[in-house]
Amino acid sequence: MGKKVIVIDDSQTVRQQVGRALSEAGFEMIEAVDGKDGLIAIRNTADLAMAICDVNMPGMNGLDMLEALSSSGSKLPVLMLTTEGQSELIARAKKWGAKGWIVKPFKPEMLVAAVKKLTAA
Amino acid sequence: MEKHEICALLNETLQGAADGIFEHLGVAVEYGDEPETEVHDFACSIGFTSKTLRGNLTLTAREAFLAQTRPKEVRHGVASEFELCDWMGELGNQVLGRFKNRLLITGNAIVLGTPAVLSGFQIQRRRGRMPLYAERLAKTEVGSLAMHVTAEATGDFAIAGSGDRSSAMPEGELQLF
Repeated sequence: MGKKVIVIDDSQTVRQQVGRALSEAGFEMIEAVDGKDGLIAIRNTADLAMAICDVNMPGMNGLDMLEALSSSGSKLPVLMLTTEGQSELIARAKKWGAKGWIVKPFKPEMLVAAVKKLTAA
Repeated sequence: MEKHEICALLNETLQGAADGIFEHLGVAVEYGDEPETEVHDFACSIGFTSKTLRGNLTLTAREAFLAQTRPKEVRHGVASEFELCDWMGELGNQVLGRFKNRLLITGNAIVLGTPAVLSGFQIQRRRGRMPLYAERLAKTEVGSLAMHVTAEATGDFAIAGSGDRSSAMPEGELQLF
């Protein structure tokens, strides 16, 4: 099996788009529907290579999830995938250890290249 | 700013957001002027707020329009009602995200809510009581999407001077840190 990646987004459409792009590139996909669900899944999944996370989600948003993850000592690479492009939000993600930011909509080949790079280590 | 100036700004911003979305989706649309006469099957509503502007984006759409515009990667056979509701919410998310990113250039940063979606019969949106509004109706050969922004602004709402404007990271772009 390929490396495991979790996609955290409240939209099934987006989870399917990401899942299809990365599955075809050989990654094993796991899904979560919001930040809280994402934290639980990350904690309970062994050998996770990275996370792709939306920002605006009900319950716990992606930036709060990132902060909680960082505060727990996790070194899991996180790539934010969101409609947000505001520099202050990007700076906040950087501060809490995100490895990258994509503004939707995304090109599958760009996402695959970024995931391959971030999971290469 | 005067009410008509803010409405003009909201209309221009909504048009720019819509153009960007349909270009990305590869859907050729024509724009009409009478959103309230259209009857739709799905609706999505997302709130937004800032110190000087707060309001709501509402989309309503025909089922055929949503089915036609779903990303091709997820189109397998006939879409279920759940899948169309999900796409309605994500479409609203992307329209409002582009709206926000374009408004940033004017120095106004809004905080976005999350979509609420419903499906039903003969859904028609009414303009309501907010003093500011922007409306667009996008039509294809199979159906239509109505987009409404309603808002209210404080007296401090303004377009920032060139030194105070900010730009958003462009749609489709990747930054690795």
